[in-house]
Amino acid sequence: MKKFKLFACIVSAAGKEELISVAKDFSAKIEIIDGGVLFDISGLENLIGDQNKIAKRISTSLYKKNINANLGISADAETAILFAGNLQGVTTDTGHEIKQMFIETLGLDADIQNVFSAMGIESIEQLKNIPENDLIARYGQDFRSVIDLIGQQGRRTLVPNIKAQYVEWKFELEHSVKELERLVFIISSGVSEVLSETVQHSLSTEHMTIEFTFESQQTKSYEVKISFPTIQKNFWRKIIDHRISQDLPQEHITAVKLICHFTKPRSAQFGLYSAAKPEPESLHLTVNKVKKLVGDGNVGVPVLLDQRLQKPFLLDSGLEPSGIESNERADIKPQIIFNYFEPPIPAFVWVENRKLKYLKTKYFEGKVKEHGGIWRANSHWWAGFWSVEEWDVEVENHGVFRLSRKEREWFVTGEYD
Amino acid sequence: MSFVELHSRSAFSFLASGSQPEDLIAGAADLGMECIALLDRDNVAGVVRFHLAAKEQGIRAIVGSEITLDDGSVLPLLPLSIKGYQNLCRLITTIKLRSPKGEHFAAKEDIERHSEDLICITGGNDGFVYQNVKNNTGQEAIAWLKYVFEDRLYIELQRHFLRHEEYINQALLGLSHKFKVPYFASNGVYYKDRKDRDLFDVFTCIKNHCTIEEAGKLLSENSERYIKSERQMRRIFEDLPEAVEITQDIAARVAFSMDEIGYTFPDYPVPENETMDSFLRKRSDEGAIKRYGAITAEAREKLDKELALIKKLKLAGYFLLVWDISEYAKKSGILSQGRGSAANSVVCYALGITAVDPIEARLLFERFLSEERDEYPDIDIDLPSGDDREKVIQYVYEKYGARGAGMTANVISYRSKSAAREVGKVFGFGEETLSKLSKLVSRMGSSESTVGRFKEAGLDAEKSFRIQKYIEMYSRILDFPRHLGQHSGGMVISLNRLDSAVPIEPASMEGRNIIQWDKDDCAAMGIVKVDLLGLGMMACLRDTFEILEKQKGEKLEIATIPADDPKTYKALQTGDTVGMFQVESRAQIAFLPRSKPKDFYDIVIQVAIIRPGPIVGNMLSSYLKRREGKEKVVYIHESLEDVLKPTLMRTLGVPLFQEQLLKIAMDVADFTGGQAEELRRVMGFKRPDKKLKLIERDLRTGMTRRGINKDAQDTIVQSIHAFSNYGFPESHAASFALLAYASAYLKVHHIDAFTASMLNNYPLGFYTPATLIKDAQRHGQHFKYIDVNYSDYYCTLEEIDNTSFIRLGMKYVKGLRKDTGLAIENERKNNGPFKNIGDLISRVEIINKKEIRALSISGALNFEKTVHRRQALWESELEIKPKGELFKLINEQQKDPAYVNKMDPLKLTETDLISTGMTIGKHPMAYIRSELKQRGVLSSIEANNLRKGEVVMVAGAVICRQRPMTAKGVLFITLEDETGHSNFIVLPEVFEKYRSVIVENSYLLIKGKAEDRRMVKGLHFESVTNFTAAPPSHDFR
Repeated sequence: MKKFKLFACIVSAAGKEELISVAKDFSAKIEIIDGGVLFDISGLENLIGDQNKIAKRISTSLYKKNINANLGISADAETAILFAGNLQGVTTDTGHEIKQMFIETLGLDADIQNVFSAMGIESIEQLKNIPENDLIARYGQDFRSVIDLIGQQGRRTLVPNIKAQYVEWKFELEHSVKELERLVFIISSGVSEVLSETVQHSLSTEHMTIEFTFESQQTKSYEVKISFPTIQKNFWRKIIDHRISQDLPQEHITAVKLICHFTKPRSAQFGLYSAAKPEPESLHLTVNKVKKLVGDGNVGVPVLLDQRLQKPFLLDSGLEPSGIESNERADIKPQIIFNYFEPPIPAFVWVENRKLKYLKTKYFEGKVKEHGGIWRANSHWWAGFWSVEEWDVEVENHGVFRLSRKEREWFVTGEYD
Repeated sequence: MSFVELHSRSAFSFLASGSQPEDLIAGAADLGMECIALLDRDNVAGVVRFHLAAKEQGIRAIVGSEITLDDGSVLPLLPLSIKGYQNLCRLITTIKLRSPKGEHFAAKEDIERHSEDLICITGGNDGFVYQNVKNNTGQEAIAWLKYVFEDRLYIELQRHFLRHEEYINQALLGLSHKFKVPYFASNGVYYKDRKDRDLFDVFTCIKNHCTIEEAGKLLSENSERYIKSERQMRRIFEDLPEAVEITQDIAARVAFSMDEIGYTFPDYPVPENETMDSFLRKRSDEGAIKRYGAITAEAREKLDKELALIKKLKLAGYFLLVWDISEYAKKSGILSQGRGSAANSVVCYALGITAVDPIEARLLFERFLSEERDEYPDIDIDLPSGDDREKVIQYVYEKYGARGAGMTANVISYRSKSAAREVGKVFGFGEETLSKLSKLVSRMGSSESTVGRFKEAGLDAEKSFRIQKYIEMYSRILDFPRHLGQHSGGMVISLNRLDSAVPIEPASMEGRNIIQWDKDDCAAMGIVKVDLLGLGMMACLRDTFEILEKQKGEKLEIATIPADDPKTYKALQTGDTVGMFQVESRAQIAFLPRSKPKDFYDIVIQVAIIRPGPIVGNMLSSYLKRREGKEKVVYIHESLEDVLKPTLMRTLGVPLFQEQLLKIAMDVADFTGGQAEELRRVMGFKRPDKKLKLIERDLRTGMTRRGINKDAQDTIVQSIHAFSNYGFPESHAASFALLAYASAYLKVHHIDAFTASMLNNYPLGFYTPATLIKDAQRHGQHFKYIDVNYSDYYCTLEEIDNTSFIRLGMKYVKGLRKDTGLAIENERKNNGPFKNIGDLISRVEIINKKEIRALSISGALNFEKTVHRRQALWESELEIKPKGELFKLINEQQKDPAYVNKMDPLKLTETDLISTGMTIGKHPMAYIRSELKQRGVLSSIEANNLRKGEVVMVAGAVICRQRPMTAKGVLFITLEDETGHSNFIVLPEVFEKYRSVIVENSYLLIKGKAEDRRMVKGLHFESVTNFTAAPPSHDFR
């Protein structure tokens, strides 16, 4: 006996994440489709009631999340998609709705669509009146999918395609708790739970989030990041305990949530013939140490911009060096390295007969031996025009620097190495 | 010693410069430069404008070109002499003609072969040497150039305040010392001012098909490529002053000027013992005898006078060449007729080039040719558009060779629609916005505020700097050249190789070459152009004559059409002129019932008077009042009636024709023909100059000599000034009037053949086929539907029970290729009618699925009404599938299924309009006539008989929306229904109020107040039906 199925489809301009969050309230089987989500709601009729009641529940959920969407519900997945994609608001399947729909909604080949229009066939009901054989004889077996669709015999199945990025565990306490010691067992059990699930995904983690909900309904989160992925429960328990103890919650806790973020898989480094590379963990540690010293936003990877911009590169502090050496041979031509000073160093410049004579900064000063320039660059005349004037100067006993002038003020912007 | 900019590029490098050639000259003049050079990429298309603008500013223009090499770099070349210029033109021609359009390049051998008398400069960052220096092969590059150009090689140093440029400059200086090649300074100019860099960046984006945000490093690094003064250049090259100083020496070396291009018109080959003049005289005399029977004294005198002048001006070759083309046309059975000022010449008439007798029409020869005129006369030949015209063009190519003849170019410039779209793409607008913008600007009046209209479309410049920049760029890009197209008919022929005067390149159309100059450039450089113009009406007349001869046995040609036919004049007088050449427009139809042309000369006036000039100059209104006897006829000044009456009598004292202006000057001031023609030209200049003052002085001197008082003199000068802006050549009007009368006669007496021919030669004229058919039906003409068993590709006539029917041709089945239509026609004619769709498919192999569907929907596969359209279509869907036993079985089962319904009449009409763009069934408005009647809505015929001031409602399909420049924002709408046409005027404020209703609906109900001239002033507009198909409308053209 064929198992009874029921599908819901939401089509909306809202973000995918929002739609998925609604779908997750009703189903575990979710497929992201073009413009929305399709999810399997089979069995909900036992819990909620008929299609209309389920539709009402989903609509309420959408409304609460302030999502403007079309909803289609049908025992046939493609019909649900058709409804949500073409009919405004909520459409449940009584068998009549699809008949009234225009054939344009079927996404037929433009030539075939034109033929039907010329034939005066405008609705799906009219199309259904044409015997299957007549259609197949003209448009071949490929047209079977259209016939199945209008006959609500679609063969489409739902293919869950949401890739999990994390696993989550939540525990609501019967009585609120203030002392952390009383939560140790609960958190420990949660850690075991999320790590087991992580292992089930054949993955590891180097990042966990612990979230406490207080009596006041407010929440407090703790991010715990380590420099290498591991699934050792004891290690995570200790480090979480250590992290929380540094900043103890001040209110009574009513719920605990743990999120275990998956670490992106990477290839193992060890091997007899593998070239020695720095350990990602060491690199990570080094970068973090540097960050501690100079501030998070001042460390990152320079990304060269293929634009006419005042600064040719951007410091992406979200990125870390890959630690992978390039196999390409370095250009044999001599290279000039330029070090940018960030921020540029204010300077005093003595000019005589349009020649730069002397340069003074708080770090160095000296006679200008040679200078090249002016070099002028400007762009973005269509939005936020910028313009710079620069010189390259050789300062006696110091080196070669890049000097720029902005509204009568001078700056040393970097040094040639 | 002053600096000369030896390397600049103009908008004629196409999408690679931010300034027009004239702007560069203006920039150079502002800086006090004595000389400037223009080197556009692989062309000299902008050099004539550059040269003329330079002359005007008193600057010396150096012209050259940057040649693209096989590695993509460029080699800038400047001619030292005429020989160098010829080499440059031939080099460009060689590389352009041998490669597909846009893929040309010069190989080293090409440069070597054409290097004589050319100076080579090494160029900027896209230059051959620059690129080689970057690749460490600079020495080899310079060595080769030194070998080719010897002492004509100069190393170019450019400094745009860019760090990386200096490294190359130092390398170039090293090469200069090593190879002993002098160096010079240039700014590699891409635009006149700093501000033009923005436009240059926009062009870069258009060229690279990217938005300004995506363009990244394709954009300029700074705005330094503008024309710099000597002072600026000296400062930039402070360390190399000699680089600046040498520029003047190089400029002095480049002695070539565009004034010496040395174009010669070809000699016409004549028999031994004949000169071109004697040969021309013989041909003219022979022709005159044919034309006049015997040469009258007046004709003899005029012929002698003209031939003497032709001899003196050495123009016999030109006349013989045009005669030769005209003869070729005649021998090939191609209808041809000269137009333009050539119709003033008895020689042209005698040679059979023109069709209007200038003696009988009293046309003035001096308008065509005069001794004082420093340019070739203009002879335009009208030919039937299409294959016949192509035959004549190919004849000229064959006779003078691919490098001896070429079509003149047409500089395709940015117009509002293309500008809005392309600049919009650069600014990253989506397709929806782009379409909206295109529509908006194409319907925008010239007087409307761009910013205001864009604001209405949601682009508010006040709110966004980006939109402000968009609108600025849109306005600035207008009129910039985009590419070279082909002129509609201008052919240039040369005795020497034409590619010695101007490069030739392939046109997009196969078998055609174009020169790199447009018609104005040719005229300025004294290059003779013969206009071989395609005229749809000529093709229509040819086809009508052919049908009449073949199907009705009636032989007729333009010359034998009976003159003064009363029925023809009646049609003209009532404005019943849809389809008639030159007199069918909305404005003509409104004017004809008032002017009521009674003879041929009235038609000549009619053709000339409905033009922007006479309308704006109020001449139209004056002429009408005088014709209706409501205004006294005066001849400019009362004291001059005796002198001017003979000249102005035929136009009731209203000066209308250019020839009249010439005659006035000759009569009142004893001007010679040449002086008078010069007066006309100078008066017509947009910007008055010294010449105007001089010629006006001569005019007044002449009038004083004739004793004309100051008051009368002032009136004459004033009147000539006003008139010079709108005067139309009488000869041209006469040639067109002849065709207008012929078309009117044919429409009145042979509407079947004439309408069929019009449909076969569409596009032509003012109206769409849908309107032409409805008009013919109202005149009693019957039509038959398209049917594969009866229709040819073109429309034909069928005689059934003594009634002539027009059988529509398969040409009108949308989606049917011409080859397929002809194949169906041939197969049927050779092997008999088709039995059914399957039979058609099996016998006409090239037919495809889409074409079968198109034929079914258009009703062409109804097979004697055995099936209706939907049945035919449904059957076609089966027939176009692969065949097999199984399908045959299905085929048998599917005869006349119940779900295939016949279309109702309205659906049929709608399908006709969609599938063929026309219908021979009921007019769509007829379906709702009773409903409209109930609402008190009038039909067109009723609306044309109203009393002034009556308030009415009229409804119909919109077939024309026009906003002429002369109408100060007033919109004219023409509605069509089953009874005819009705016309409406819409004042600007009313149009603004109902803009979207008027512009977006194909069927309108207009409430308005009747005006005179069968015109209703529209006051309220609404959509009247929801038909999905409508006859096409002639909008805003």
